[in-house]
Amino acid sequence: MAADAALSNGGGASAWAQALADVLLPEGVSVGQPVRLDCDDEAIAAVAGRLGIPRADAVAEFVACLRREQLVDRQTGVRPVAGVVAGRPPGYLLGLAALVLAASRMASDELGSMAAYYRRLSELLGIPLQPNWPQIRGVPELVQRFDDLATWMDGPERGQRGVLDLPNDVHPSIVGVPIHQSLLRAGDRTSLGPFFERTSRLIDAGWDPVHQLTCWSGRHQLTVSLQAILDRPDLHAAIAGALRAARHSWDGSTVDATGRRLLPSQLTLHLPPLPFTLSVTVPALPTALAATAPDGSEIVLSSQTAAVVREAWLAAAADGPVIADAGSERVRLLPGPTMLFEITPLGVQSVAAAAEEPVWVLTCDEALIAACEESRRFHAPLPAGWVLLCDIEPDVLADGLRASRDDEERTLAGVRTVGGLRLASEVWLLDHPPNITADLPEPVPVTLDGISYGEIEPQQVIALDRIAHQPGMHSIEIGEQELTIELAARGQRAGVGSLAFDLDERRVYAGPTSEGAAADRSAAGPLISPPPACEAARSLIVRYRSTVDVIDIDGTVRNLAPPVPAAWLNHVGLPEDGPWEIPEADQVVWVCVDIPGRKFVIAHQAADVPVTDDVLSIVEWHADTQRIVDRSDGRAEQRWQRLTAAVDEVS
Amino acid sequence: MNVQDAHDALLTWCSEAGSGTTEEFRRSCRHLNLAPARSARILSALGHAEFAWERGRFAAAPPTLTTVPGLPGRMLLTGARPYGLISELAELAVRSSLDIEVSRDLCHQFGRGPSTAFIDADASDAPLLCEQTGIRFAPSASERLAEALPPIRLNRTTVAHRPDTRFPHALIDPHTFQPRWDETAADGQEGLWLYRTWGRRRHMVLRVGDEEPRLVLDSDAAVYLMSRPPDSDPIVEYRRAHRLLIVNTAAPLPTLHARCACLCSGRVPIRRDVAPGVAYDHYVNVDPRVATHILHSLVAPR
Repeated sequence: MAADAALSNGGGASAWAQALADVLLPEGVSVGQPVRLDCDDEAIAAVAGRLGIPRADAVAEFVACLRREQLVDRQTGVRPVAGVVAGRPPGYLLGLAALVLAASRMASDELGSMAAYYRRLSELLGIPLQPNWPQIRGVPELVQRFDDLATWMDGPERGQRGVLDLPNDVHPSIVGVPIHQSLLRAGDRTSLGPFFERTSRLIDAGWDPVHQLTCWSGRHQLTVSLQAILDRPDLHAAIAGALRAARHSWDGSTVDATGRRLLPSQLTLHLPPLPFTLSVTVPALPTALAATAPDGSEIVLSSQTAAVVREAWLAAAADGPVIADAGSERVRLLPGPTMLFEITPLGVQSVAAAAEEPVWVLTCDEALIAACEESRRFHAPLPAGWVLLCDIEPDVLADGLRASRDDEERTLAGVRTVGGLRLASEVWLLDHPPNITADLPEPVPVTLDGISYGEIEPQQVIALDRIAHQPGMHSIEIGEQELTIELAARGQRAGVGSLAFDLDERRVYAGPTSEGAAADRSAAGPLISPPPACEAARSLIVRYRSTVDVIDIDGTVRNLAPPVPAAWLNHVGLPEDGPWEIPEADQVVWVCVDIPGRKFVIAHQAADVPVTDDVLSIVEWHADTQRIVDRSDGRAEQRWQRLTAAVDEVS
Repeated sequence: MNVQDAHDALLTWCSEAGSGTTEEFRRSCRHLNLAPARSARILSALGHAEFAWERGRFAAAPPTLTTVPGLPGRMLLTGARPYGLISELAELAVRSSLDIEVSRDLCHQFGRGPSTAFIDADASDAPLLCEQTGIRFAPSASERLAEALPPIRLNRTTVAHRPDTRFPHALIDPHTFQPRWDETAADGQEGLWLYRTWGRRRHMVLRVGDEEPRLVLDSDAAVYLMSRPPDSDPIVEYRRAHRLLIVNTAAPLPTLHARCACLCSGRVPIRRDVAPGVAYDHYVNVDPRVATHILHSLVAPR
């Protein structure tokens, strides 16, 4: 609806304001949560898209609208737009968006520079810089409108578009405010190139970009502002969205150690039945480019047509990245002595880091080669020293070649939980709490449930042993941060038995499924449903490692000893003093047990036995028994009393 | 925490969670320093849980009491084992009029799987015990399951499949059961092939003569379908006198077969290394009837 209204308005100021509000401060997404007016070129392109304006013309059309509506001009700068308070959303939103857009274009080394900010704003709006402060007229007045915007979001909009996150104290005091609103600056986007190269496929697959960025070893290259934002859990969703948008618009380039732009290549392995080859494309190149390889050979690089990797390049890769010079661009042909590949729908393609699945490794690293079995070496014509290793677990690789996923762990201002046996969000199994780690700049004190627990050093991981066996809620304070975790002995226990084998012989070898659990006949664990008919043999088991006297139904008696335990019990480490079975159980009426300090009889059948001398002899011996276990009809005690009475009569 | 405790904790976690994703299972294994695939195989073989890797799910099996062949009066507690279950059963045993004994100290598996829980009770008392505790009773589960095992045959365990030869693939060695990446074999050559396809998939594809290739649904069943030279060592053999089922570790028993063998004792098989890269799993106390069903299912004429 909003887009329709905007279009019908012909892309005027009100349409832009509405579209900006819908894109930058969407309703119902961050209700009551802190948000920023994070306007950058991508956001303007998205806004323009809603107004039917081509992406390439987005910023130009935005500025043209401001000029056409006389909201900015050469003499008064941005003062006119600062005065437009009418409308819903208010008209000054266009000016605020322009201020933040200019901030987003600043490089890392320009941060905090008032002059640099005004220069960016001047370039954006096409307004010449004034010789004295403010170099763009009206900026101080417009910056004050951030407070009005916050009031508008909080009041008429009732927090549906979030709560504008404004700094309490910022430097420079005026332009610092729009700079603060920008989540990702141009400098950050450049620094994020190597990060995206490593994690783009993980981010595309839904992994948490904030966690990945927090764990990234190159995090120190980011602006202080972005690093601070990463420590703000309340801005987690906002920064995650900004990172995903930045990844979407990433052109594939990285920067090298000297800060020069470098385009990474995409390597593809072609395996038999095709001729074994390694080819290279450069996805970030918009058009084909002639380049000079390190060996002096001329090649044509493109995003579509693959170039064959030459043997000499592999030799050079043993010493580090192989770079090709293509005039204005530099392309990294090979990353170095170890190249990782994954099997994708497009073939065996290179990846920057291994995630959780096994990877294929083209390497000349002798230690890595030695660590893998010989049958894993792919039969391939490779230069001496190089080997293609198949199906290598990520654990075997160096840390720098692996990506971590613990994206479920929550991060709170540099403090996070690691591991543990998690049952639900913020709930762990009793005895198995998570550990705590922090990447704070200096040691900070830790308290557990209000009691001091020492200090945590930067990057240290501490175990919560003290509370591990205490069920319930626990409060953990790390410096100024506070975490709450719950240790519970009981989980949801949901879905027990929800997977089962369908025992139909056509499906039994397809593995357990949820459909299998509903099949006519299924097996979940040891349990077959419906249970097969099984006639239970009437057995008589005793657990006493002593001889027992048995009185049979015909009046005969047997004195039985426990059998020799099965040899396998000892073999596998099981106790050998287990129960044993009395043979011919259907004949047994009484079992009389006499173990030191314990004498009792068990009634196995409801039957009166003939009173023979042998029977009386046994009954006499057990006459003082205190316990009769009745497994017959509930009247064993009377029958036993009759036998003891018979003994008394005889004696 | 030692490895034995880690296995026990993993079983407790699976039981308390009830079910979940295999990713959650992997994460818990990582925390406990256990190998996820091997741990899952053991939990499955002992009847504690089911794993559907293709669907990314696991689910604990219902807590179940079953009898063990040749061990009268001693029953195996398998399936889910929630936190404190053993203590609750031990307390019940003290209070109950039933003649049962529950040891709080379980039988460890030397760090190779979750501890074995036995309950000493007369089988005739078991139904009442189970009724009081909410545990299921499945007498002779090993034999009942073994009876349900159909022979592994092409038409039951495979589907017609045209593999994409652009993916890496290698012939499986009929002696070592390892993919021979270091050897070249012509596509279409008869035998069992491993195809590494995208994602988590590893397809076992059987080529027999000129017939259409067949995808083996349970990859553990694949080696029992492949043609092997007449002089090959047997993959599985049964020693009746010692009630031992001996299986080449490179060709592990399919899930249900392994479960039948494990439920005869409640123990994970004992691994015996006989040479570098050559080892055998010894399943102990395998009842002759159970062994007969397993062998019949594995080595029946194709």
